[in-house]
Amino acid sequence: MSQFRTLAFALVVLCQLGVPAWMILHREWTLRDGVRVKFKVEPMDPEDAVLGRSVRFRIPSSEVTLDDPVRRPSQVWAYALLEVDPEGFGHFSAIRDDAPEAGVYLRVQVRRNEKKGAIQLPFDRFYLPEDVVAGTEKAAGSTLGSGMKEAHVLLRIHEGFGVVEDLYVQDTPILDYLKVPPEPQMKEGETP
Amino acid sequence: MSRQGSDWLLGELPDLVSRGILSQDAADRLCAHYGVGDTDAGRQLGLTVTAVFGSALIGLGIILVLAYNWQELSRSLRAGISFSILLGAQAAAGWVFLRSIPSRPWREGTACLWFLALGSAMALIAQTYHLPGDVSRFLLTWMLLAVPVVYLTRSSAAAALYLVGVTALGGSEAAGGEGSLLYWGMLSLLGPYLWSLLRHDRQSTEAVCLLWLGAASLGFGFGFSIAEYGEQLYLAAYAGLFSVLYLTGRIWFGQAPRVWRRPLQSIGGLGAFGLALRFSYQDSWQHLERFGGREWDWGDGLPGVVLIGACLALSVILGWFSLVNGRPQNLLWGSFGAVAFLAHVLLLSTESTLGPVLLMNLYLLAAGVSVLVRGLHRERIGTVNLGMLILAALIAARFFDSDLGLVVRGIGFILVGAAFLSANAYLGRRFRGLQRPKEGLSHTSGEEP
Repeated sequence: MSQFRTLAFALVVLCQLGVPAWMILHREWTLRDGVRVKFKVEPMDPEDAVLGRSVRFRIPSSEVTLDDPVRRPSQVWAYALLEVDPEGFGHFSAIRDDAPEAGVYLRVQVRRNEKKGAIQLPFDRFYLPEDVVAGTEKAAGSTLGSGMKEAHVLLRIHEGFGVVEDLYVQDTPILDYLKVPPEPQMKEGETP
Repeated sequence: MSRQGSDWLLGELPDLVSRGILSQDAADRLCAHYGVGDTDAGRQLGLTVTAVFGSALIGLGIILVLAYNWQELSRSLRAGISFSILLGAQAAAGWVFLRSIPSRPWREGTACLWFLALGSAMALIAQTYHLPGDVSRFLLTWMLLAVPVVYLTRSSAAAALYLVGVTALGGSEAAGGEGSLLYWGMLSLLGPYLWSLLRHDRQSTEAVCLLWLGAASLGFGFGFSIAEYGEQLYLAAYAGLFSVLYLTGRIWFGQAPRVWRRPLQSIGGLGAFGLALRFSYQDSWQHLERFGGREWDWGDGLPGVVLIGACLALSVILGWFSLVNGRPQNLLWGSFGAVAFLAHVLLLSTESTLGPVLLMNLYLLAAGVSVLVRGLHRERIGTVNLGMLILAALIAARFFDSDLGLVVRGIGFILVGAAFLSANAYLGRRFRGLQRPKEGLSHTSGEEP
């Protein structure tokens, strides 16, 4: 009985350590071996780009034309093939049911929408330290929101799995971008 | 001695001593013989509660500190922190578990910390690698990894956390339009633990607390299940649920000495009364009608209909069981599921909402009168007051519902209030000679409608 208790406890502990360990290792391997791909992003709501302690973003170019829209169920797991342009930005080119042998691709969920397929990307936020976010909100108001119109996210992609490496605003990593205090906004008729 | 027996003994002893039937010494010896009345159990409970709260606060504090998102820390250091916290909690719980330490506060406290440490480790990983805000997936992974904690440690605090987590998971799934199957599946994982707890001592504090939480979770679960079919099913579904809860509570927990120890019949009875009162208004039926109450889609709404059918069937079985065992009073709120279903059928088959409104009003009237009559018959002032409260609520509802003027309504309220007070004064005088005042006015016993 005592041996069974020890065995059961050890098994549970192993599972509980194994799952987070696998989550970490899988992402670390992807960050180490993955191809760098950039995606232009836009905030969900420019006036409210910062929610809590993370910046939420949306990748707008995540829709592709489907070859067989009728046969495809409303939502399935599939492989989205990517073409990377010379500047490093990724564009979705096709959807496949099976994993391609070469090239850059992501395993994603695709929601059918008439002849188009909307790719549900598993990236929608970038976490930031609480004081950075709070300070920026107080000092800059919606500056971050307007700046994020020129934002892109940098992913590492390896064997269909992607990890967010960084978020850039005007080609500057967001943490560096936020450290620069915004210029005070002049009121009408006011001289500097 | 069972909790029910010990409660009875503790209630009787002061009276026996005051009447001179037993000496104080004899009463103390009886307490010592049966192991009741000592403060050790209370002290243990107090220690357990503080241990659970302390651990929960530490666990939640760790989650909040890590949520600050310390960018200065490298990814490997963050991973190290995640695992250190989890390993620390596992080691503490493992020490209690493997050494079979009998202290309940230690068991509950370490299990609670273990449960929350798992969540904090996963949250830190999600934050470090900017995982998407998929609450369902996060909760699902957390709960699946944490459910063995409940069984290994036999901790009710961990079970309570699991119930809260599974309910939140169900809410997240329902909000995303994913249905409720996952909620029911995850909830069923706690079934064997709850069953063993109830079989051991269904009136223990931990079993009662878990039943309160479980019944509340079931209420949410029904909401998740019928949310995708619109509002048309919710009266029948909730009426069925409240009937089953009430009947189950009356049959298996009816003898519990205090109201808080009767979670199922308390939630079932209050829920049935509240829902019946709400649907005694014509507006509620018109609202139901507007949101598809007449267009019951038997195809798309099949899972919801199965849920309602199961509740109705169960309430019929439990009602029959009550009748066979000579407890027809259980049908008071136990029949609410059938009455609500009948009212809904009336709405579907007739052109008017008048039929269901009348049925609900008659049901509440019959409930109020039957409780009042039973209270008078058994000479229990608490039951009499409850019956009068039901009637007063019904009268007040109709006053607000009608087009009567303010003066007429005001006079009506004064008259009902005066009748209430007069009846109380009269009954109080009448019972005084028959019952001890403390039994009549402050202790209404386990008997309740």
